[in-house]
Amino acid sequence: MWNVQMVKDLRQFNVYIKTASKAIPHREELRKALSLWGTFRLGEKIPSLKLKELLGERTIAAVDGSRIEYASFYPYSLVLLRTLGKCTGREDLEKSKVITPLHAETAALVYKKKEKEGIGEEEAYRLYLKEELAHLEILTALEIAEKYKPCLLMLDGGFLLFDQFAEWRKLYKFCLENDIILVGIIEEVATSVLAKWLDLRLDHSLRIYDREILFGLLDKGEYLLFAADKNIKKNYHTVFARLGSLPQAIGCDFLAEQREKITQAMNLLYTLTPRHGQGIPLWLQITDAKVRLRKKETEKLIENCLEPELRELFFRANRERRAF
Amino acid sequence: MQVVGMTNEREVWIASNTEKFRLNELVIIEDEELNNPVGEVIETYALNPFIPGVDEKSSILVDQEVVASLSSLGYNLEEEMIYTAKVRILSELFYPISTGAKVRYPCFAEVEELLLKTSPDKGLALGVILGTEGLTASLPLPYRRVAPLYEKGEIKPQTGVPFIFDYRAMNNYPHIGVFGGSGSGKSFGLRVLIEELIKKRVPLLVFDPHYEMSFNEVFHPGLPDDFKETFADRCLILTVGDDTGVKFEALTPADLCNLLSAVSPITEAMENAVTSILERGDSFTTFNQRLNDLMSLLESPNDDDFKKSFMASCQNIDEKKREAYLNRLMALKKQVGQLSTLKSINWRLNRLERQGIFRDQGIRQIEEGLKAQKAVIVRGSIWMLKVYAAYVLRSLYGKRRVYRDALQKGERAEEKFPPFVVVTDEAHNFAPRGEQNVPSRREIREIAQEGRKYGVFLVLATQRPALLDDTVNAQLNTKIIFRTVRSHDLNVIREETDMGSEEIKRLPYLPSGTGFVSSPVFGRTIPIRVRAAKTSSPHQINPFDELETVDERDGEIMNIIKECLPVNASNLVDLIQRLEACGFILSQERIINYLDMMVERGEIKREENRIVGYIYRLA
Repeated sequence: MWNVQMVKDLRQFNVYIKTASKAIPHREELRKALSLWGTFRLGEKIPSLKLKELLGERTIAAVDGSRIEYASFYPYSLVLLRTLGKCTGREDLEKSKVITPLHAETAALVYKKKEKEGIGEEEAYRLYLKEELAHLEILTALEIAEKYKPCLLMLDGGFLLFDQFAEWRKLYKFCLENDIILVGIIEEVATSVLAKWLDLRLDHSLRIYDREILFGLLDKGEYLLFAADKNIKKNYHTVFARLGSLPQAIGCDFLAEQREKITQAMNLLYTLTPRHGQGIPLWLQITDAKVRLRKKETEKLIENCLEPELRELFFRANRERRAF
Repeated sequence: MQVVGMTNEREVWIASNTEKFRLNELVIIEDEELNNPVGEVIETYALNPFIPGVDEKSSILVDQEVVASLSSLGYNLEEEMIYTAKVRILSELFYPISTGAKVRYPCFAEVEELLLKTSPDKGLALGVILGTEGLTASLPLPYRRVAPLYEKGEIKPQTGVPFIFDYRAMNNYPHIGVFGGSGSGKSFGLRVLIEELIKKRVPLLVFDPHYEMSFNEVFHPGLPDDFKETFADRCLILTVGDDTGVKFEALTPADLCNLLSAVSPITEAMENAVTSILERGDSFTTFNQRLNDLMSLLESPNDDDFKKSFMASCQNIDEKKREAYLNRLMALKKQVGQLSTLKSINWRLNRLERQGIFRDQGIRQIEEGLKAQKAVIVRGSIWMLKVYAAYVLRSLYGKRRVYRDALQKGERAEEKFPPFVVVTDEAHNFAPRGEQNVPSRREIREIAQEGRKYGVFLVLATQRPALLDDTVNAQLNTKIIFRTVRSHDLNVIREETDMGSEEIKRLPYLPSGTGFVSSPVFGRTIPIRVRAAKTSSPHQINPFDELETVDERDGEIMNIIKECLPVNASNLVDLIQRLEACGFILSQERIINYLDMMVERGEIKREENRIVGYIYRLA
């Protein structure tokens, strides 16, 4: 299982990151420093009755997607994409797509991507899949927005994931025109902007990501809103918030034009988030759970739809037959 | 509703996010290739994927406020339920059902064949089939009002398809067993079964060790008028020793031995002695006389002394006869041998006599009752009935057999004798499993094995099927099983019926009046709820209630006591005399008891006096 060298290496790594994490200033210092860049605010839970009053006939919506692969190895891959738009009290909206590089058309697109980005073919394929799912999500979001005109529309992930598609502009416009607050919920914050702003440096070359800075920084229900000219990415307004009990913060992307709606939106999100847990609004969690493609079901489905010989020919990897 | 997961040709899982499945309900699985088979729900489950189970760490639902917020936005988390059920296919299939097949509820016409084997006027309406509540609306009129239900002290209209037992099918699948522990509804079920048989004018011979089988009181005032019915005129209640008994003159030596052994087991020597002593046409008196004379003979120091005293004792009888009798005694003495054997026979015989079993009436009344197609209810203690049943069954079964055999052979039968059904509770007493010699077992076994041929059938109820004779148990083609808890009994039920393990698992928890019918007539186990009875058992008063109520007699005594107040506890003579004059003879203690009871009830008061003790006065 393991050998002495492995243990040694891992212990060394432990020391390394420990040193690095010590370089992060204390909470109070950080808060003081960050308050120069933005403001700490406390979210408000809206009572159910008031919530109804506030929203009237309007609703809350969320869009999420799921991807699952049935494969032996590239290019013997069959990918199912599914997206779900869920609006409170309304019917769900579902979209799906099947992708395989065995398809000539797909192969051509992947090849184009490979040339453009200058990366390996398989990597290009992964990127292609990610974008396809995001694209499908945007299409779903647009349809949900047009169909139900919700008060708040949650996307799963930051805006950078979506804004490369033509439909993004459409969604953007539609939301502004119809007073739909668009928010991208980022469960795992992966940016590293704050360290730069705060001029934090480490002795080693280790980078400090925003995640480490945000950890434990906020009180329960608190969020950090930066000044209008301080944008983490492009001209979107990113808010870091701790809506649940866990000390890790999530990110919320808002459109610059909707800055004055942020307080209302944050209160809504806080209201819809269980007190205990990782701080993701329940509605998004439910959407996520409903859209998720599960391995077993997918396998069953594919096995039902593909003839056994073809399945054997294309998708059965030798390693599946290993005895040990 | 659709079929999910792995299927086979016997069982499938079905799921729905709107329909709650109900145990035992029928569903149609739309699989064209397999002719849309019908299935029965045998297990049900519900799950909300957003409400974590106790073993999961996730706590997404702990926050009720968020749930309330969402609900005010028009989304109810409770609606995210997933209902699943295991379904057993009721027909024989050769391929598994395809996954994803649609599932729907049937209407009555589509499943009629599975639920009804005959109509209410031709069969016994015993109750309703559980799980068919959804079919009530599509039920044709004649089936709708045959089985009202009894629930929590009230009569409720029938819901579901009636369970109608085709008693004519007993010709192919004879005999019924009714099993269930105390309070399981077994006796109630047996009563309903008897009511239905009486309605069909089937001659019944009911052994009633509990003195509870009478059918002349209306069960509940809430019963619908067209359902109310009592059966006093179709029943004949007899008590062993009072109204009915064994005709001694008709006894064979074997019969007599059976009767004697019912009192207490007898030895081979005793059997030999009885065979030797009993003569054809003996009455109880002649047999008893002979037995006693023989005992005197054996007791006397020598034969000559006995002869002398005997010849001297009854001068009025012809001498020749006396001598013949004496010679017969002498011969018997050689055959019988031991005095102790005779003494043993004697005390058993006397006990039977004292119980009144040798009534002159014999079983003529029972025969007449059966011929009139009535329910003849024979009462007596278990002990008595055990003895009596053997005799009655042999006699009546014999008559029926003779009649049938004669018909078969084309001879003219001397006496017409109808087919009949024998019903008894506590059947394990009449036909117990094991070695001990119980006279009625042989008869019940014989009827169990051969009765069908002659049109004689058994309905045996017991709370201990494990104690019932194996041969008999195996012949009970139809079994109605109520709540059963003991593992022994459950094992027997598992072996002797076609019940599946899911149903066996439910047996210990069945509510009273709910049971399973396992019968080849249906070919599967049917869960039923027994209908409300039309009549009730006479003793349904809780004995503890009895203790708290004051009966008429008590009231009268208390009134007399009140009239004599005040009295003092150390001098009750006047009161005693007064009570005696009114016909109540009570001891001093009993009277003080009454006085104290009246004090407790606040009717009078008790004062303590230093000289005379307690004084009782009107309050």
